[in-house]
Amino acid sequence: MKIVPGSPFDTSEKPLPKEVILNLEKYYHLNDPFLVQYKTYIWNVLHGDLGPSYLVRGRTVNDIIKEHFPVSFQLGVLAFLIAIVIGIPLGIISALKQNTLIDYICMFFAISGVSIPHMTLGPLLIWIFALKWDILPVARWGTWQQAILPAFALGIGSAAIIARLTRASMLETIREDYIRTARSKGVSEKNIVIHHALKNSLIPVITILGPLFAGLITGTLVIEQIFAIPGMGKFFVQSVTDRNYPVIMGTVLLYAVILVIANLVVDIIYFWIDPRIKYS
Amino acid sequence: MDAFLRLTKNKMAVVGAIFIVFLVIIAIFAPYIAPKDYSEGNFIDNYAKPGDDYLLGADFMGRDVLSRLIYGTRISLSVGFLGAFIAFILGVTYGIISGFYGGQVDEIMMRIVDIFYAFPTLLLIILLMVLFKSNIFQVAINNIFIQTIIKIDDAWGGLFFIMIGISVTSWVGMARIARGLTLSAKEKEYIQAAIATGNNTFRVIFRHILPNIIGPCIVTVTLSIPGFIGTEAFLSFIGLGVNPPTPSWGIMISEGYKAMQSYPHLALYPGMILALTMLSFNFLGDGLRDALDPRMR
Repeated sequence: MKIVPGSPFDTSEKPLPKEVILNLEKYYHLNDPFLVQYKTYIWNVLHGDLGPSYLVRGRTVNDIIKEHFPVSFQLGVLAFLIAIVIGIPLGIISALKQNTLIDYICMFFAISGVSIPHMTLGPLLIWIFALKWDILPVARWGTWQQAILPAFALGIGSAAIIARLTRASMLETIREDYIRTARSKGVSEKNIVIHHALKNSLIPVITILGPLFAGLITGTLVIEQIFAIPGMGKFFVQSVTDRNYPVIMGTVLLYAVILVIANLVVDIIYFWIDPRIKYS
Repeated sequence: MDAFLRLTKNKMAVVGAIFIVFLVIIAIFAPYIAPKDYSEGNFIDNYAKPGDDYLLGADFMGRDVLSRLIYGTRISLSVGFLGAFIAFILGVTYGIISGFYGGQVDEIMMRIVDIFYAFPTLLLIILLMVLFKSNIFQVAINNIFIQTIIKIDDAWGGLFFIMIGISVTSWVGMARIARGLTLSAKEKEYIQAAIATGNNTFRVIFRHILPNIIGPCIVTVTLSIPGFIGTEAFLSFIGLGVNPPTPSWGIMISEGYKAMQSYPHLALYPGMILALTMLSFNFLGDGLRDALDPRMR
């Protein structure tokens, strides 16, 4: 990343005096050898200090994360819940009614959901719910009404992915022998789905939930811009254009940690949902 | 021919294909179709409502939205098709060589792929764009080669560097798929027979392996086109894409949503077109997959 030419103190319009730049570089230890910089960075990170932001004096990466990450996190969790609540039932229903009209409608929704990008869905939802019907606020963040639209705009794409996967794995599961056995024993269709098929068909779905969750928390950039939400997204791009090294490293590190935790949780859920899976 | 017949039976795929052909025609004949110039606005007509003079209204600089949409088709489609083309050629060549020779060659080539794979795609593209678009880079490296490239990029309205950014990251997945397919094809009897009867390597690869692995590769590449189009729109949306007077759907959305409350159509039209285009490619890709590989049903 530091190989990319340019420094955080390049300004195209009004160049800073040379002395000021030298002082700034000294203040932030940018003149030390690369390996020394790396060592101090790792040492500081291990002590919970992600370093300063070069853009505003006195503001640290920790401050930025503390202030803006909770917003992104809430939005991501909401979108995630929406994705699950919509996606899994849709997938199950369309699998049980395979090749009927309901199935086609559900799958049309799923393909559309996968194809429609956030930057289309955001304005579309605003237009319908905030401008035409005037039942929800247009933008900003704070009350629960303001959370609904962005959460849906973010979650529907993932709901579509979950629905497709659930349908495929449910179709596979209900053709298994033990389902036929349960049926011939006279178990009701509802019980078969809930007790026999559901848990087994959810395993591949849960596998992608981890990365999906991390993606929802991190991929909020466009939605945050459209809905004017003060989240982490904009720092990600801004810091790269500004060469604000500690902020880039801090955000990437944060996302990596989230991904690792999400995958760990997925592994634990595996164990709970299917006791046959053992880790030795 | 069989596959083509199966494809035409799939209604959604046909609709998608027709829409794509329609877009291609629009993109080619853009100067003849567009009613107005895409970059010159008339400041009296700022935010003109859709009506007689401007069929789909005008944007914040009084530029005709319809004309900008039509020219934007060129940007999105060329990113989609060129990105797919580069990913396809690079990825398939790389994958076949790696899979066919196997052993040490395979080992080294796949580790290189792993290195590319390890980068977060979006971060890499953003970094590349920042690098290419920065003045420092363009001034610092002052030789004829770089200058020519920058001129090409300007002539394309900033598209060239987006293509590089997308190509660098997109061929990797293709290479993996092509390698896997080659590995499994190589073990089949007819390939063994082809080698045993003394065909040289090129002939085996082009006549026997390539036709057998090309189907899934085409499907993958078709399904990756909406991704490329989306990436370009995303980059333009955050301001790292095409250079401003060039009309890209992403830029139009990002300019449009700022005036969302008063003029929602500015963000909605490009958004709709973008979504429809991506949807069509997805339908076509799904249709192709079903047609080329009936076992997947």
